[in-house]
Order: sequence, then C-alpha cells, then structure tokens
Amino acid sequence: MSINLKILSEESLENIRNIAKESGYSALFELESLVVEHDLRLINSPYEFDSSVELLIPDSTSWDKNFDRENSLRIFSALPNFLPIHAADERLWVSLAFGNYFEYAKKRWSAESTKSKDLSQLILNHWFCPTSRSRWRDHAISRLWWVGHIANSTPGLKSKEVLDVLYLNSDLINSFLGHPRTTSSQRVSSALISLLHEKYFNVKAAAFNRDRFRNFMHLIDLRSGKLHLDAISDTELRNLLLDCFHESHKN
Amino acid sequence: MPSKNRIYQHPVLRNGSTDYADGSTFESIFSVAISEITSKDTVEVSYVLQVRNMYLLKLVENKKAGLFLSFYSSETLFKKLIKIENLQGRLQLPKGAVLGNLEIEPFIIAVTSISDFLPNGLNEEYGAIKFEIEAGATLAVGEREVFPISFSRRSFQDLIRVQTSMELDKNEYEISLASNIITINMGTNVRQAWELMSSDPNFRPFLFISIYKDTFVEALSALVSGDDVEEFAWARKLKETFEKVGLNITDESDFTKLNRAVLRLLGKKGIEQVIADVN
Repeated sequence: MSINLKILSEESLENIRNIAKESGYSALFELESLVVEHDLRLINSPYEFDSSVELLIPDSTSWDKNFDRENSLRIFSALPNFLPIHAADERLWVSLAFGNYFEYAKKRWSAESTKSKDLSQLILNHWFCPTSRSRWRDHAISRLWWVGHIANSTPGLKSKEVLDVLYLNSDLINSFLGHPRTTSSQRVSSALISLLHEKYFNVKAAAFNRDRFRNFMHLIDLRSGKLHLDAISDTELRNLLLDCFHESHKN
Repeated sequence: MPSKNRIYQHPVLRNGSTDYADGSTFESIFSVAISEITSKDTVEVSYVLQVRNMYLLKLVENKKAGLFLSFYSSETLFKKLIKIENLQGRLQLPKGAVLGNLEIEPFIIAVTSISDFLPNGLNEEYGAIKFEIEAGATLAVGEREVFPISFSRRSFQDLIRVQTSMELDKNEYEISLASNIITINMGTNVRQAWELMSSDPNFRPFLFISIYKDTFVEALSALVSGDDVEEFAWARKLKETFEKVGLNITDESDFTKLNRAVLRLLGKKGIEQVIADVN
C-alpha cells in the first residue's frame, strides 16, 4: 500500500546528525524513539512509499549472504514514481534508515567495535548520506536504490543481467560506480555491462579479478580522455571496450 | 569556467590554446531554466554557439563532424552527450535527471574518421602536417559552464543553524560544513551570547563582524580549496550570493582575500549598521 512518506525536517536531520557525532550510543535508536526523546519533527513528503515492502535481514555481512541483490529490487519497488533528483534528498534516506528499515540497517552494518567514537563513525557512514558518493556507495538504503535504479534503467539489458554483473563482487560495483564520468552515461554503461555479462557469465571467458578489473576501468578512462565514447558507433564502442578488456585481462 | 586541460595529439580549437593562430574561436552562451510549461522537474537549456573557422564548419556541414553538448550532473549520476543540428536552439533534459551542479560543455567532434585533417588558421609550427582523426575525437571544445540547479528556493539564512554543544568549552564555537546546512556548534556561553545578541537589534550587527564572518570565511575557504563540498546547498547558495555582487570566489585563493571579500559582503549588516546605530 503506497502512502506519502513522512520524513525528518531539515532541522531535525541536523539534530540527529549532531547527536550521532557526539555519541554513537545516543543515536542508534528507532526513529519513533528519537522523535520523542529529542523533540524531532516529521514532515509530509511528496514521496510515495509502499510501506508493505520489507527488506530481507541478512544473516551475515559477507558478500554472498547480505541479500543486497534482492533488497535493491525491493527498495526500488517500494518507491514508485521516484526520480534521481528525489534520491538526492538525504532527509528521506535518513528517515528510512532510522525508520522502516532500522533493523535491516543495524544488521547489515553491524558494529564491530563497542567504542562510542567508532559507533558514531559507523552511523555517520551508513545512516547519513550528505554527499552523492555516500548515497550510492555507503548509505544503508540509498545504495540499494541506486543499483535498483541502474538495473531498471539500463537500455537494452534485463535487470537480471545488470544485477548479475554489478553484484558479482563488491569490488566490481565500487569500481564501476567509482568512475561516474564513464558509467553515468547509460549508453556506455549498457555496453560495458553487456560485455561483462558475456565475459563473466555467457562464455565464462574470464573470472573476476580485482586488479584486472580496476585496470580495465582505468584503460577505459584513458581511452575516453581521447575519444568521446558517446559519439562513436555501437560497434566502435564495443570494439573499444573489448580491446580494453583483453588488454587488462591478458596473462 | 575553463575546460579541463586535456592533451590532444592533433590541433583542437579551444580557449587558451595556440593551436590556431588566425583568430578562430568556438564560443557559446547557455541559459538554463526549470520548465514551467511542459513538466515540472524538467530542466530546459537554451544555447547559442558561434564557430569562427570555415574548415570546421564545413566538416559539420559535410557530416564528418557534429556539434555536441555534453551534460553532467554528479548528484544524479547523469551524463549525456547530445548531438545538435543547429548553432542555436533549446532542448529539454529528461525529467528529474539533474540536480545540483549541471556542467555543460560544447564540442565539435569527428563522427567519422577524417584523413588529411588540415584546418585553416593553424599555428605555423604545425607546418603542412596532415592529421589522421578517429571518429569520436574532439576537434573543438568551448568553455565548460556550471549551473546550479535547485527545485526549491531557500535563502542563505535557512542554510545556517546553531546548536549548543556540551562537548565544546563554554567559550568556544566550531563550524560544521559536512552537510547541506552549515551548523555552528556553540559552547554554552557562546550560545547564550548568541541568543542575547540576535534578539537585540543594537547588538545583532556584532554577530556579522564576529560569528557570521568566521562562518562565511570558513565556508568560503572550504569551497575554494576543493574540499568536496561543492554539492551542498549552502555552497551553491554562497557561490550564487558572491557572484551576484560580482565576485568570482574561485579567483580568491588566499585567506586575506577571502576575508576581505566576506567583510565587503557583510559590511552593510555589520560595520555600517554599527555606525548607523551610533549616529
């Protein structure tokens, strides 16, 4: 059932951030408790939210048991009519991480240290997302939405194929999204993911290797400094990516 | 804003380069607005390009090269290269695709391979060398412009808040710039003084020559030093505020200059108000 989500006001968001900075132990509570305890204000938002969508709670933080893949599709479906500009609203993500998905966030990003300072840092990293990088890379919920969005908006590919590639390895996704000037182009990212799917899954011509993949992305960056990848034909683009792949994956 | 320094293996028409020596130029004017007619959350871009080089214009006319506009918005992970047919026109970016700093950069790009590339007006150092150009190569690049895109209007005042901190000494305050809103964390004495001064019109101007001034200087310093704060709402508003008074803050690199810029900006509400109150 879709409702218009209530989110923290800007002032209240800053209040919680400050509480988290000063003491991790004072901040790691569900939104309802924080609202009462610190006199926070929730306001109406324009965002539709399907509150019946639950995230799978991971058994472990290990890459193959964290349910990121399934949860990225779930969070994407929980926010219908949601646009990339809406995803820049930190108030929404903080409200969800402390609110509906608090248990999920706590389990997925569980504390390894009992020091208040470490807990503060953990909360600031995964419950807050003041920068675009923190939204696609670190925030407990928004990072899932971004992958769901990419999976559902990459032209010419099914979401399954995109997720196969992006969730193959944590290094792959970070390296992929860590080159936004290359991968923000839907046309380039589509060609890139398509090639990776072919190499890693269809013909199994290569196994993922962190250093080789980083080198692959680096070579693409170098080539795109010389040529506009968005201005060349599909065949030329594929050949260029293939060259980079072979060069980075040769023995 | 000058385009990033790139190194090319062939002559490229661009500002600040001596590749062309006959006065050839590639200039552009952009204006950006949020659509009020078609669909909200949509950004419209109007453009006028001017190419002063017959050889390059001929390549465009013969479909060997094309005119392109590159758009990039890091906040929304949006990048698009759009081919345009005319030197002047208007286009819409996809709904809800851009926010924060929208970078626009005009290009002339080879769309086929070009053999014997030898434009008119080249610096004589090139002699009679003919270049082999690959499809996708840049032939001309204009100035990169950055437009702040915001769908909500906020004043700068909305972007500063104060908060009492028990962690700080009672007479200390510190400025936090790590989110959309600037937070001034105040020790208990500072907070008390702040409340007294802000509620009394006779004392309010002193805030502008003390705490507000420090806040502006610190915020500007972070902005100029490239501390990864550009996308925050306060940073965009601050830049806009300084640009309105004709001050390009990227030129103000040292502390003394930044301090003087802030003093000029806050002069009316601070020093001048103190003098007016006394008189």
